[in-house]
Amino acid sequence: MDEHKKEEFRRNIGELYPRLHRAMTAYLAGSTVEADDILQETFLKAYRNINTFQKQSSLYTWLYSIARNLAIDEFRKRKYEKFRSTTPVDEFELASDNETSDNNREEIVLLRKAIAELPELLRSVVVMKTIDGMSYPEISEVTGVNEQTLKNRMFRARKELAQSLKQMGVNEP
Amino acid sequence: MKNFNTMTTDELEIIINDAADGLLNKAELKKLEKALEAYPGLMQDYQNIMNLPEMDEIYGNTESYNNPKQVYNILQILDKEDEKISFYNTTVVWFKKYAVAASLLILALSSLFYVTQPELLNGELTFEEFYYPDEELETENYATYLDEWFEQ
Repeated sequence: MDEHKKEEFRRNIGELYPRLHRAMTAYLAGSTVEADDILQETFLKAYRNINTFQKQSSLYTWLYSIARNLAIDEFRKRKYEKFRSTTPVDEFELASDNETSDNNREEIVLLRKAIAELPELLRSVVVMKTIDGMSYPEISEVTGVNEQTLKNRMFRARKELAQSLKQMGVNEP
Repeated sequence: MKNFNTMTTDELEIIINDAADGLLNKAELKKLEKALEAYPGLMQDYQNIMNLPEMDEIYGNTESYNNPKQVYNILQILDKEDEKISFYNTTVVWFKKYAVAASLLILALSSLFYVTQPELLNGELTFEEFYYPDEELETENYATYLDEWFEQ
């Protein structure tokens, strides 16, 4: 039974990796915690505990919750959160490509910085909802928080983002 | 359609969030804006939130995060984990399976050893005497020497 689950898990890694990597990159932006390290630990921890995985939740949301918990443990170890707001803008630079105009690039960088500066409770919801495209029931599975509270957090996050972006001069006439 | 006019500010905040998620139709949006006229602060929040730029593409598309080398590394780590688990399971199972048999064998061999050495059972030989039968004690040599000397 476990062997079958393990085999299925191994087959899904290639498909799950890019999405989880993207989400963790967004979630960990501005921190010294590496998304690659968190992902490696996540897959190993999930593999060790594969027999505890319940099919009621999706494999992705299960992995996401493991990854988020590992990242939170790292933040605690590094006493990181209080230094977060001082992260320089350069940290959020995009990899060079020709498709993005300079104005767009600047807006994206500032938006990344604004999200990274949100407190973890709000940042995690914004990343899951707007960047990773999870539904509220899925976010509820990851966080263990009810949908009403999540929507309230999302409102607060959006409000804070709008204020930060205003201060940074984004969307100003 | 929901009645936004009777809602509390907490409930309106959630409706504003629904609007930002694109869940309200045009008529509902108009009704919401009408209800928010009674709450200027909340109306300002609504306008700011609705003007937020799109965020879903700010980290590029999922395909750009594909990394076959890293996936391969993870699979290698899982293989090593399997080897560790396999070794652990083998040794623990072996120990559990044969520990009683091994203890009984040791007991039987030591009993057999005592049976084949009756002197040990009679208590006539000490440990040293059994293991070093050819070595004479110095005190015995001295006693023999004294006997011989007195006889002379």
